[in-house]
Amino acid sequence: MDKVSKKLDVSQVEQAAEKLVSNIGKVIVGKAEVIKLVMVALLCEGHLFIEDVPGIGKTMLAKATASSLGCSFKRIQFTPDLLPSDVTGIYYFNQKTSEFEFRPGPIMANIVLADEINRATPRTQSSLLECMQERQVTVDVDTLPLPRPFMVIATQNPIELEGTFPLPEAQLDRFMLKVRLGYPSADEEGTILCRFQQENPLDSLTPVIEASELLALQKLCRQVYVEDSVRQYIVTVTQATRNHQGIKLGASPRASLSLYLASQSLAAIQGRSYVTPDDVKHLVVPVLAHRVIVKAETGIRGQSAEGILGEIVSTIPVPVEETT
Amino acid sequence: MKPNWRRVILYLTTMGVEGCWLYALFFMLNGLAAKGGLSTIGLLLLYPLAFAINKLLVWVGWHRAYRLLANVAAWAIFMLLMVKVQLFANLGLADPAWLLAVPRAVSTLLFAFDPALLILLGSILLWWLGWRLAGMQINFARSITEFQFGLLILVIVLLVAPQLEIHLEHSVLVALVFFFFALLGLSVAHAEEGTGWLAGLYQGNWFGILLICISVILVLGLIIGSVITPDFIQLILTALKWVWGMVEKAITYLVNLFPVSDSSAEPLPELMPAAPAAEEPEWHKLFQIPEAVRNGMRLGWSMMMLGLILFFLWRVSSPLFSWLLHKLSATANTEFEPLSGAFKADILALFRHLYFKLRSLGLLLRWRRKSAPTDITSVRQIYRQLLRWAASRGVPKLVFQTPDEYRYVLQEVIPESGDALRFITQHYVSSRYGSSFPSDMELHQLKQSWHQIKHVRFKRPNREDKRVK
Repeated sequence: MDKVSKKLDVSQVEQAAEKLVSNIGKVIVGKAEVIKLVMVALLCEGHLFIEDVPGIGKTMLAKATASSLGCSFKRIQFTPDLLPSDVTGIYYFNQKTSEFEFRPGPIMANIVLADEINRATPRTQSSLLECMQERQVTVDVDTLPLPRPFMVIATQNPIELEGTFPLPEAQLDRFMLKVRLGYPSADEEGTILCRFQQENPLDSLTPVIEASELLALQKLCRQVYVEDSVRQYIVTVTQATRNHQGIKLGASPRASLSLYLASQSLAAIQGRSYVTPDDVKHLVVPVLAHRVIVKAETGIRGQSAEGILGEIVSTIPVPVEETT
Repeated sequence: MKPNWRRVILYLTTMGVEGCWLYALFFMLNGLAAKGGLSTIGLLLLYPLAFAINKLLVWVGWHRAYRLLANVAAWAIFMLLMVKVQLFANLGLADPAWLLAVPRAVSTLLFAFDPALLILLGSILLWWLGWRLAGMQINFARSITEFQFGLLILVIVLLVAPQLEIHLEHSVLVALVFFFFALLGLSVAHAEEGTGWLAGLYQGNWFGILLICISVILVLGLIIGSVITPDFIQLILTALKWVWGMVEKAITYLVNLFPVSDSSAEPLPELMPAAPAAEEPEWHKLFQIPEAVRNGMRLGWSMMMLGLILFFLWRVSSPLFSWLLHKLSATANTEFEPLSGAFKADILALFRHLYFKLRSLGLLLRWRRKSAPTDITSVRQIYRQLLRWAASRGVPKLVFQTPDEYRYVLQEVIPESGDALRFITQHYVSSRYGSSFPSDMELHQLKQSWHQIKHVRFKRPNREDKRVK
């Protein structure tokens, strides 16, 4: 019956996603869609950027994600006095052995939480560029590979910008997805209070996906079929951001690649071995919104990147059957 | 009537005919170039002026070369004067601005239609027409030509001006004056050749009869002018556009009959999985048709379709040709006798014949459509039918809607068919984007679901609900 799905069984991915959503859901209440996006980033080995107001659960989400994976986890609190060597590691002179020895930085972990990333200086922020794109770190003259899977989860507060350094475009473009948690509803907030009454559920979280399993799932997702017209649809959407009047800088080819990979992962999470235009539409804002720069006059008119992307998606024809 | 007077009248009528279409033309161009700021009548004065000067030059008996030089000089002077009077009336003669207006207009020829440019080009045309009229021998054939050409220009201007949103003032009056001069000129030119009715029995009363005829024509013109409104013309244009749209559709349909070679884009080498083509079983390769054979088959198919079209054209046109040949042979070596109404009867018979042919063809097609079994072989075909069916009931799929988004829209207008819609959409999506095809059993269920949907009554859709996120 099914040429593609017969060959490719993505049920493992679907089950793993369900497990992860359920596990993180013990800590983060009512944000299943956001957790699915976290899973998308994990399956693409992409980096995640969480931006929201304080107290929403950004760091909690990152820590819950790390706790749900059987991977090494390090947290870096980005502050203005943080140095690049504090991130990457340093060669120091060991007086006992009379040799230079390498002391790895916190970047040498599977999951790295860069908390409040915009509080560090651009110099320190830039130390992540090589790590995020090439999955390696260069200290002095030595280039060392980072452990796989490797994922940076960064958080940022969109308000209180005093004493912060906005992330450059090159840095933002390296994040596969940007998600917002948003305030919980009244019911959800009540549930949070009950759940955290006795103890922090984060402490009791156990890993549900091992590192090796995650690597296998990543490989499986790359096998998800993308029909020609859907691939062309992704290209058309990305191209449209470059030609839109309200956008100063459109999405890069890296953005279209991210959209492509993320669509494959989302399809697999939903138990499909092929990508549909719905997957692409669903991911357009999380993948592209932080990569485009809106013109100043457009911003003054009250239009945001998310709004413009929604407008673009609502004008581009979806590849569907022609009636004529 | 003396021949000299007839010639004067002929000149006047020709000038009147040309003046009318020139007025309409320049009025429209004036609206385009100067928003109606120029005086069209003032510009048209160059025409009789050119005629008078050229007649004078002929009467003086100058050599042709001198006459040409004098013409150019006179044209330049009057053209500049026209620019000065029409565009720079407030400037002094010593101010060079009005002299520089024409070269400036020429320099912006490709970018803007300047009023000075209109005066320049218009004066050239008017001067040439005046020069031409001065040396012209007007006879009946010439009058006919002037009438036909003028009528053509007038009709074009009357049709184009509304499209350019220019209100042509006095259009009815211009048309009536045009016909007045044209008919008068034709009558007099006919009489000049001694062959018309004016040179015959009624020669003594020709002027009265002419006036009566022209009066009748003017009255008829006024009546027609009051009937043919812009709305009426718009109606005719709409009908013509509809006919042209049908012709376009027919051509598109014929073009679509030709197979198009599948130019599939190259897949991304690293990201695109080889499935499903790369993992075909070995025995599939035995049945694969080489590309050369495919091309040959495509060519054969195209030739066959072309042959069918030619056969169809021949089949339709052969009765017409036969009929014409029959009529032609029937009239060979025979004397003609007036048979009033025969032509009309033949034409009516032809139309009747064509009507019955088309009707029988339509009936045949309708009968075949009804009697043919609904040959549904794929889920995509079913989905296409679903789209057409829903569109015909006022809920078309918008271009940016995905199949699932459209399903939600349809579920709102036919909630009782929600399951059937979901079933068809799911199979369509997996077939369209996943290269997955339903089994025979599933196809049977799909057909049943489609038949179930077809017989459901639509709720009146809410327009705003169609745009579903």
